[in-house]
Amino acid sequence: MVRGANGSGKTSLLRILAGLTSSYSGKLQHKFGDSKWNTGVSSGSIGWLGHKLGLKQDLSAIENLAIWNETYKQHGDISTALQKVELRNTQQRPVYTMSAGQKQRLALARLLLSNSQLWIMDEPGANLDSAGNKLIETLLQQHSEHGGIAIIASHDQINPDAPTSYIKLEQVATA
Amino acid sequence: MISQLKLIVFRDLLLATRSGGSWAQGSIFFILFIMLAAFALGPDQAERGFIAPALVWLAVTFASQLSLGQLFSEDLNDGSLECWVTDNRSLFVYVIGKLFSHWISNFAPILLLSPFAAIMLGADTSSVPILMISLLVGGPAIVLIGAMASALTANLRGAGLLIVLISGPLLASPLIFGVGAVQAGVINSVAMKLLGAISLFSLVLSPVISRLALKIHLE
Repeated sequence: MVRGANGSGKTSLLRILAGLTSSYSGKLQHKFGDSKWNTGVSSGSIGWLGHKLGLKQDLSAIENLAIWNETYKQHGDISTALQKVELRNTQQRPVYTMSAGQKQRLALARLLLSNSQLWIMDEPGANLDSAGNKLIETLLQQHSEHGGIAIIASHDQINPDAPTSYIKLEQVATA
Repeated sequence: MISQLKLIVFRDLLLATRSGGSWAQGSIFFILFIMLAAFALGPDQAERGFIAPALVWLAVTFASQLSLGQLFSEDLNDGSLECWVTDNRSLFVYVIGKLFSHWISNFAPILLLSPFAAIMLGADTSSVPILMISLLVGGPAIVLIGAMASALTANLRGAGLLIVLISGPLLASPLIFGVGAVQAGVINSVAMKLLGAISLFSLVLSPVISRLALKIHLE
Protein backbone atom coordinates (compact mmCIF):
# COMPACT_ATOMS: atom_id res chain seq x y z
CA MET A 1 0.00 0.00 0.00
CA VAL A 2 1.54 3.28 -1.12
CA ARG A 3 0.41 6.31 0.82
CA GLY A 4 1.34 9.94 0.75
CA ALA A 5 0.02 13.45 0.34
CA ASN A 6 -1.24 14.80 -2.97
CA GLY A 7 1.67 15.36 -5.31
CA SER A 8 4.06 13.10 -3.38
CA GLY A 9 4.52 10.86 -6.43
CA LYS A 10 2.22 7.89 -5.81
CA THR A 11 0.88 7.82 -9.37
CA SER A 12 4.34 8.36 -10.84
CA LEU A 13 5.70 5.43 -8.83
CA LEU A 14 2.89 3.12 -9.94
CA ARG A 15 3.30 4.12 -13.60
CA ILE A 16 7.01 3.34 -13.39
CA LEU A 17 6.27 -0.06 -11.82
CA ALA A 18 3.67 -0.81 -14.51
CA GLY A 19 6.21 -0.01 -17.23
CA LEU A 20 4.15 2.90 -18.54
CA THR A 21 6.90 5.37 -17.72
CA SER A 22 10.22 4.06 -18.91
CA SER A 23 12.40 7.14 -18.61
CA TYR A 24 13.81 6.05 -15.26
CA SER A 25 16.87 3.90 -14.71
CA GLY A 26 16.80 0.83 -12.52
CA LYS A 27 15.32 -2.59 -12.52
CA LEU A 28 12.53 -4.19 -10.58
CA GLN A 29 11.89 -7.88 -10.51
CA HIS A 30 9.23 -9.97 -8.94
CA LYS A 31 8.91 -13.68 -9.32
CA PHE A 32 5.66 -15.50 -10.00
CA GLY A 33 6.65 -19.07 -10.76
CA ASP A 34 9.20 -18.78 -13.52
CA SER A 35 8.14 -15.40 -14.82
CA LYS A 36 9.64 -12.11 -13.87
CA TRP A 37 9.18 -8.64 -15.13
CA ASN A 38 11.42 -5.61 -15.44
CA THR A 39 10.06 -2.15 -15.56
CA GLY A 40 10.55 -0.38 -18.83
CA VAL A 41 11.76 -3.57 -20.51
CA SER A 42 9.03 -6.16 -20.31
CA SER A 43 6.28 -5.46 -17.86
CA GLY A 44 4.62 -8.86 -18.21
CA SER A 45 0.89 -9.14 -17.77
CA ILE A 46 -0.21 -6.59 -15.19
CA GLY A 47 -3.72 -5.88 -14.03
CA TRP A 48 -3.70 -2.09 -14.28
CA LEU A 49 -6.37 0.17 -12.80
CA GLY A 50 -5.46 3.81 -13.22
CA HIS A 51 -7.36 7.09 -13.09
CA LYS A 52 -8.56 6.36 -16.63
CA LEU A 53 -10.66 3.22 -16.49
CA GLY A 54 -10.23 1.77 -19.99
CA LEU A 55 -13.97 1.63 -20.69
CA LYS A 56 -15.79 2.52 -23.90
CA GLN A 57 -18.66 4.87 -23.11
CA ASP A 58 -20.81 3.83 -26.10
CA LEU A 59 -20.69 0.12 -25.30
CA SER A 60 -22.65 -1.66 -22.61
CA ALA A 61 -21.00 -3.05 -19.47
CA ILE A 62 -21.13 -6.59 -20.79
CA GLU A 63 -19.75 -5.60 -24.22
CA ASN A 64 -16.83 -3.79 -22.58
CA LEU A 65 -16.02 -6.84 -20.51
CA ALA A 66 -16.44 -9.22 -23.48
CA ILE A 67 -13.87 -7.24 -25.46
CA TRP A 68 -11.38 -7.15 -22.57
CA ASN A 69 -12.00 -10.84 -21.91
CA GLU A 70 -10.97 -11.58 -25.50
CA THR A 71 -7.96 -9.30 -25.12
CA TYR A 72 -6.79 -11.03 -21.95
CA LYS A 73 -7.39 -14.46 -23.53
CA GLN A 74 -8.25 -15.85 -20.10
CA HIS A 75 -11.86 -16.71 -21.03
CA GLY A 76 -13.02 -15.65 -17.60
CA ASP A 77 -16.62 -15.75 -16.56
CA ILE A 78 -18.09 -12.31 -17.27
CA SER A 79 -21.29 -13.00 -15.32
CA THR A 80 -19.32 -13.97 -12.23
CA ALA A 81 -17.14 -10.86 -12.53
CA LEU A 82 -20.23 -8.65 -12.82
CA GLN A 83 -21.81 -10.42 -9.87
CA LYS A 84 -18.72 -9.88 -7.75
CA VAL A 85 -18.83 -6.12 -8.33
CA GLU A 86 -22.63 -6.10 -7.94
CA LEU A 87 -23.41 -4.86 -11.45
CA ARG A 88 -25.51 -7.77 -12.75
CA ASN A 89 -28.63 -5.57 -13.01
CA THR A 90 -26.92 -2.92 -15.11
CA GLN A 91 -24.96 -5.15 -17.46
CA GLN A 92 -26.86 -4.10 -20.61
CA ARG A 93 -26.67 -0.37 -19.93
CA PRO A 94 -24.25 1.76 -21.97
CA VAL A 95 -21.36 2.93 -19.83
CA TYR A 96 -22.16 6.61 -20.43
CA THR A 97 -25.41 6.17 -18.49
CA MET A 98 -23.65 4.79 -15.42
CA SER A 99 -22.60 6.74 -12.34
CA ALA A 100 -18.92 7.32 -11.59
CA GLY A 101 -19.05 4.67 -8.87
CA GLN A 102 -20.61 2.10 -11.20
CA LYS A 103 -17.91 2.78 -13.79
CA GLN A 104 -15.27 2.22 -11.11
CA ARG A 105 -16.92 -1.11 -10.21
CA LEU A 106 -16.98 -2.08 -13.90
CA ALA A 107 -13.26 -1.33 -14.12
CA LEU A 108 -12.76 -3.65 -11.13
CA ALA A 109 -14.64 -6.37 -13.04
CA ARG A 110 -12.24 -5.84 -15.94
CA LEU A 111 -9.36 -6.31 -13.51
CA LEU A 112 -10.88 -9.59 -12.29
CA LEU A 113 -11.06 -10.90 -15.88
CA SER A 114 -7.39 -10.07 -16.48
CA ASN A 115 -6.47 -12.95 -14.15
CA SER A 116 -3.10 -11.24 -13.57
CA GLN A 117 -1.33 -12.14 -10.39
CA LEU A 118 -0.05 -8.63 -10.01
CA TRP A 119 -2.54 -5.81 -9.72
CA ILE A 120 -1.41 -2.19 -9.76
CA MET A 121 -4.21 0.10 -8.65
CA ASP A 122 -4.14 3.88 -8.47
CA GLU A 123 -6.78 5.20 -6.06
CA PRO A 124 -9.19 2.28 -6.65
CA GLY A 125 -11.59 3.70 -4.07
CA ALA A 126 -12.12 6.91 -6.03
CA ASN A 127 -15.85 7.59 -6.54
CA LEU A 128 -16.82 4.58 -4.42
CA ASP A 129 -18.99 4.67 -1.31
CA SER A 130 -18.12 2.77 1.86
CA ALA A 131 -19.75 -0.41 0.45
CA GLY A 132 -17.55 -0.04 -2.63
CA ASN A 133 -14.42 0.30 -0.50
CA LYS A 134 -15.47 -2.81 1.42
CA LEU A 135 -15.89 -4.59 -1.92
CA ILE A 136 -12.31 -3.73 -2.89
CA GLU A 137 -11.06 -5.09 0.45
CA THR A 138 -12.96 -8.35 -0.19
CA LEU A 139 -11.57 -8.62 -3.75
CA LEU A 140 -8.05 -7.99 -2.45
CA GLN A 141 -8.52 -10.68 0.18
CA GLN A 142 -9.64 -13.19 -2.48
CA HIS A 143 -6.79 -12.14 -4.77
CA SER A 144 -4.31 -12.69 -1.94
CA GLU A 145 -5.77 -16.13 -1.18
CA HIS A 146 -5.15 -17.11 -4.81
CA GLY A 147 -1.49 -16.13 -4.51
CA GLY A 148 -1.77 -12.71 -6.09
CA ILE A 149 -0.40 -9.41 -4.86
CA ALA A 150 -1.46 -5.83 -5.38
CA ILE A 151 0.36 -2.52 -5.27
CA ILE A 152 -2.14 0.16 -4.37
CA ALA A 153 -1.91 3.92 -4.08
CA SER A 154 -4.63 5.00 -1.73
CA HIS A 155 -5.54 7.36 1.05
CA ASP A 156 -7.09 5.87 4.15
CA GLN A 157 -10.33 4.50 2.63
CA ILE A 158 -9.03 0.99 1.96
CA ASN A 159 -7.65 -1.19 4.75
CA PRO A 160 -7.35 -4.74 3.45
CA ASP A 161 -7.38 -7.75 5.75
CA ALA A 162 -4.73 -9.43 3.59
CA PRO A 163 -1.09 -9.12 4.76
CA THR A 164 -0.08 -5.58 3.84
CA SER A 165 3.13 -3.56 3.74
CA TYR A 166 2.83 0.20 3.85
CA ILE A 167 5.07 2.70 2.10
CA LYS A 168 4.66 6.39 2.81
CA LEU A 169 5.96 8.84 0.24
CA GLU A 170 7.14 12.21 1.50
CA GLN A 171 7.33 15.34 -0.57
CA VAL A 172 10.88 16.57 -0.94
CA ALA A 173 11.24 20.33 -0.89
CA THR A 174 13.14 21.58 -3.90
CA ALA A 175 14.90 24.92 -4.15
CA MET B 1 -0.96 -11.45 -33.32
CA ILE B 2 -3.74 -12.02 -35.89
CA SER B 3 -6.31 -12.52 -33.12
CA GLN B 4 -5.24 -9.24 -31.48
CA LEU B 5 -5.50 -7.51 -34.85
CA LYS B 6 -8.98 -8.93 -35.46
CA LEU B 7 -10.05 -7.90 -31.97
CA ILE B 8 -9.03 -4.25 -32.51
CA VAL B 9 -10.78 -4.17 -35.90
CA PHE B 10 -13.94 -5.79 -34.50
CA ARG B 11 -14.02 -3.44 -31.50
CA ASP B 12 -13.56 -0.34 -33.65
CA LEU B 13 -16.23 -1.40 -36.15
CA LEU B 14 -18.61 -2.08 -33.25
CA LEU B 15 -17.82 1.38 -31.84
CA ALA B 16 -18.38 2.92 -35.29
CA THR B 17 -21.92 1.49 -35.34
CA ARG B 18 -22.58 3.12 -31.93
CA SER B 19 -20.96 6.46 -32.68
CA GLY B 20 -24.08 8.10 -34.11
CA GLY B 21 -22.71 8.11 -37.66
CA SER B 22 -19.39 9.86 -37.04
CA TRP B 23 -17.80 7.33 -39.42
CA ALA B 24 -19.85 8.94 -42.22
CA GLN B 25 -18.45 12.45 -41.67
CA GLY B 26 -15.90 12.02 -44.44
CA SER B 27 -18.42 10.58 -46.88
CA ILE B 28 -20.91 13.41 -46.25
CA PHE B 29 -18.19 16.02 -46.70
CA PHE B 30 -17.15 14.26 -49.91
CA ILE B 31 -20.69 14.34 -51.34
CA LEU B 32 -21.16 18.01 -50.42
CA PHE B 33 -17.79 18.96 -51.91
CA ILE B 34 -18.60 17.22 -55.21
CA MET B 35 -22.11 18.72 -55.37
CA LEU B 36 -20.84 22.26 -54.78
CA ALA B 37 -17.96 21.72 -57.22
CA ALA B 38 -20.48 20.63 -59.87
CA PHE B 39 -22.46 23.84 -59.34
CA ALA B 40 -19.32 25.98 -59.35
CA LEU B 41 -18.01 24.49 -62.61
CA GLY B 42 -21.16 25.29 -64.54
CA PRO B 43 -22.55 23.48 -67.59
CA ASP B 44 -19.42 23.43 -69.81
CA GLN B 45 -19.05 19.65 -70.20
CA ALA B 46 -15.61 19.71 -71.83
CA GLU B 47 -14.04 21.81 -69.09
CA ARG B 48 -15.68 19.79 -66.32
CA GLY B 49 -14.56 16.49 -67.76
CA PHE B 50 -10.96 17.64 -67.85
CA ILE B 51 -10.70 18.65 -64.21
CA ALA B 52 -13.13 16.08 -62.71
CA PRO B 53 -10.43 13.52 -61.73
CA ALA B 54 -8.40 16.25 -60.00
CA LEU B 55 -11.46 17.40 -58.06
CA VAL B 56 -12.34 13.84 -57.02
CA TRP B 57 -8.78 13.26 -55.82
CA LEU B 58 -8.85 16.57 -53.91
CA ALA B 59 -12.22 15.71 -52.32
CA VAL B 60 -11.01 12.21 -51.32
CA THR B 61 -7.85 13.69 -49.79
CA PHE B 62 -9.70 16.27 -47.68
CA ALA B 63 -12.61 13.97 -46.74
CA SER B 64 -10.29 11.22 -45.53
CA GLN B 65 -8.57 13.60 -43.09
CA LEU B 66 -11.78 14.68 -41.35
CA SER B 67 -12.30 11.77 -39.00
CA LEU B 68 -8.64 11.19 -38.17
CA GLY B 69 -8.76 13.46 -35.10
CA GLN B 70 -10.17 10.69 -32.91
CA LEU B 71 -8.25 7.79 -34.42
CA PHE B 72 -5.91 7.37 -31.44
CA SER B 73 -6.99 10.08 -29.00
CA GLU B 74 -10.08 8.26 -27.70
CA ASP B 75 -8.14 5.18 -26.61
CA LEU B 76 -5.44 7.40 -25.12
CA ASN B 77 -7.90 9.54 -23.16
CA ASP B 78 -10.17 6.77 -21.83
CA GLY B 79 -7.27 4.60 -20.63
CA SER B 80 -7.83 1.73 -23.08
CA LEU B 81 -4.32 2.15 -24.44
CA GLU B 82 -2.78 1.99 -20.93
CA CYS B 83 -4.64 -1.27 -20.23
CA TRP B 84 -3.59 -2.68 -23.61
CA VAL B 85 0.10 -1.91 -22.98
CA THR B 86 0.20 -3.07 -19.34
CA ASP B 87 -1.25 -6.40 -20.46
CA ASN B 88 1.91 -6.69 -22.55
CA ARG B 89 0.07 -6.39 -25.87
CA SER B 90 1.91 -5.07 -28.90
CA LEU B 91 1.50 -1.36 -29.59
CA PHE B 92 2.54 -2.02 -33.18
CA VAL B 93 -0.30 -4.53 -33.69
CA TYR B 94 -2.66 -2.01 -32.10
CA VAL B 95 -1.62 0.69 -34.61
CA ILE B 96 -2.00 -1.67 -37.59
CA GLY B 97 -5.46 -2.72 -36.34
CA LYS B 98 -6.54 0.90 -35.95
CA LEU B 99 -5.34 1.76 -39.46
CA PHE B 100 -7.16 -1.22 -40.94
CA SER B 101 -10.44 -0.49 -39.15
CA HIS B 102 -10.23 3.19 -40.15
CA TRP B 103 -9.72 2.12 -43.76
CA ILE B 104 -12.83 -0.06 -43.66
CA SER B 105 -15.15 2.28 -41.75
CA ASN B 106 -14.09 5.67 -43.10
CA PHE B 107 -12.10 5.39 -46.33
CA ALA B 108 -13.91 2.53 -48.08
CA PRO B 109 -17.28 4.37 -48.22
CA ILE B 110 -15.56 7.39 -49.80
CA LEU B 111 -13.85 5.09 -52.27
CA LEU B 112 -17.19 3.52 -53.24
CA LEU B 113 -18.71 6.96 -53.83
CA SER B 114 -15.83 8.11 -56.06
CA PRO B 115 -16.98 6.69 -59.43
CA PHE B 116 -20.41 8.30 -59.01
CA ALA B 117 -18.73 11.58 -58.07
CA ALA B 118 -16.53 11.47 -61.15
CA ILE B 119 -19.53 10.84 -63.44
CA MET B 120 -21.50 13.57 -61.68
CA LEU B 121 -18.69 16.02 -62.40
CA GLY B 122 -18.78 15.02 -66.09
CA ALA B 123 -15.67 12.84 -66.25
CA ASP B 124 -15.27 10.60 -69.29
CA THR B 125 -16.62 7.17 -68.26
CA SER B 126 -13.53 5.52 -69.73
CA SER B 127 -11.39 7.35 -67.15
CA VAL B 128 -13.40 6.08 -64.17
CA PRO B 129 -11.69 2.65 -63.88
CA ILE B 130 -8.23 4.23 -63.91
CA LEU B 131 -9.39 6.80 -61.34
CA MET B 132 -10.55 3.97 -59.08
CA ILE B 133 -7.26 2.12 -59.51
CA SER B 134 -5.31 5.29 -58.70
CA LEU B 135 -7.39 5.78 -55.53
CA LEU B 136 -6.84 2.16 -54.51
CA VAL B 137 -3.09 2.50 -55.07
CA GLY B 138 -2.75 5.97 -53.53
CA GLY B 139 -5.43 5.68 -50.85
CA PRO B 140 -3.15 3.96 -48.34
CA ALA B 141 -0.71 6.87 -48.56
CA ILE B 142 -3.47 9.39 -47.79
CA VAL B 143 -4.74 7.43 -44.77
CA LEU B 144 -1.29 6.52 -43.46
CA ILE B 145 0.06 10.08 -43.64
CA GLY B 146 -3.05 11.37 -41.88
CA ALA B 147 -2.83 8.64 -39.24
CA MET B 148 0.77 9.59 -38.51
CA ALA B 149 -0.31 13.20 -37.90
CA SER B 150 -3.19 11.92 -35.76
CA ALA B 151 -0.81 9.88 -33.58
CA LEU B 152 1.56 12.85 -33.18
CA THR B 153 -1.30 15.05 -31.93
CA ALA B 154 -3.27 12.39 -30.02
CA ASN B 155 -2.77 14.05 -26.63
CA LEU B 156 -3.95 17.48 -27.79
CA ARG B 157 -7.50 18.80 -27.58
CA GLY B 158 -9.06 19.95 -30.85
CA ALA B 159 -6.14 18.73 -32.93
CA GLY B 160 -8.16 18.54 -36.17
CA LEU B 161 -6.62 21.66 -37.70
CA LEU B 162 -3.13 20.65 -36.57
CA ILE B 163 -3.54 17.27 -38.27
CA VAL B 164 -4.37 18.99 -41.55
CA LEU B 165 -1.42 21.38 -41.13
CA ILE B 166 0.99 18.49 -40.51
CA SER B 167 -0.35 16.14 -43.16
CA GLY B 168 -1.21 18.81 -45.76
CA PRO B 169 2.29 19.31 -47.20
CA LEU B 170 2.94 15.55 -47.16
CA LEU B 171 -0.30 14.87 -49.02
CA ALA B 172 0.82 16.97 -51.98
CA SER B 173 2.87 14.12 -53.48
CA PRO B 174 0.11 11.46 -53.61
CA LEU B 175 -2.28 14.11 -54.90
CA ILE B 176 0.05 15.17 -57.73
CA PHE B 177 0.88 11.61 -58.80
CA GLY B 178 -2.72 10.44 -58.32
CA VAL B 179 -4.08 13.05 -60.73
CA GLY B 180 -1.11 12.43 -63.01
CA ALA B 181 -1.91 8.69 -63.09
CA VAL B 182 -5.50 9.38 -64.16
CA GLN B 183 -4.39 11.84 -66.85
CA ALA B 184 -1.85 9.33 -68.17
CA GLY B 185 -4.79 7.00 -68.76
CA VAL B 186 -2.83 3.74 -68.49
CA ILE B 187 -2.33 1.46 -65.52
CA ASN B 188 1.45 1.16 -65.79
CA SER B 189 2.27 4.84 -66.06
CA VAL B 190 5.22 6.35 -64.20
CA ALA B 191 2.84 8.40 -62.07
CA MET B 192 0.97 5.25 -60.98
CA LYS B 193 4.23 3.51 -60.07
CA LEU B 194 5.39 6.51 -58.06
CA LEU B 195 1.99 6.63 -56.35
CA GLY B 196 2.42 2.98 -55.36
CA ALA B 197 5.93 3.72 -54.11
CA ILE B 198 4.63 6.54 -51.88
CA SER B 199 1.97 4.21 -50.45
CA LEU B 200 4.57 1.51 -49.72
CA PHE B 201 6.91 4.07 -48.14
CA SER B 202 4.03 5.35 -45.97
CA LEU B 203 3.13 1.78 -45.03
CA VAL B 204 6.62 1.29 -43.61
CA LEU B 205 7.02 4.70 -41.99
CA SER B 206 3.57 5.54 -40.61
CA PRO B 207 3.07 2.60 -38.18
CA VAL B 208 6.59 3.04 -36.80
CA ILE B 209 6.18 6.78 -36.19
CA SER B 210 2.62 6.33 -34.87
CA ARG B 211 3.79 3.68 -32.41
CA LEU B 212 6.64 5.88 -31.18
CA ALA B 213 4.34 8.89 -30.81
CA LEU B 214 1.79 6.90 -28.80
CA LYS B 215 4.51 5.48 -26.57
CA ILE B 216 5.68 9.02 -25.80
CA HIS B 217 2.08 10.13 -25.08
CA LEU B 218 1.71 7.25 -22.61
CA GLU B 219 4.69 8.43 -20.55
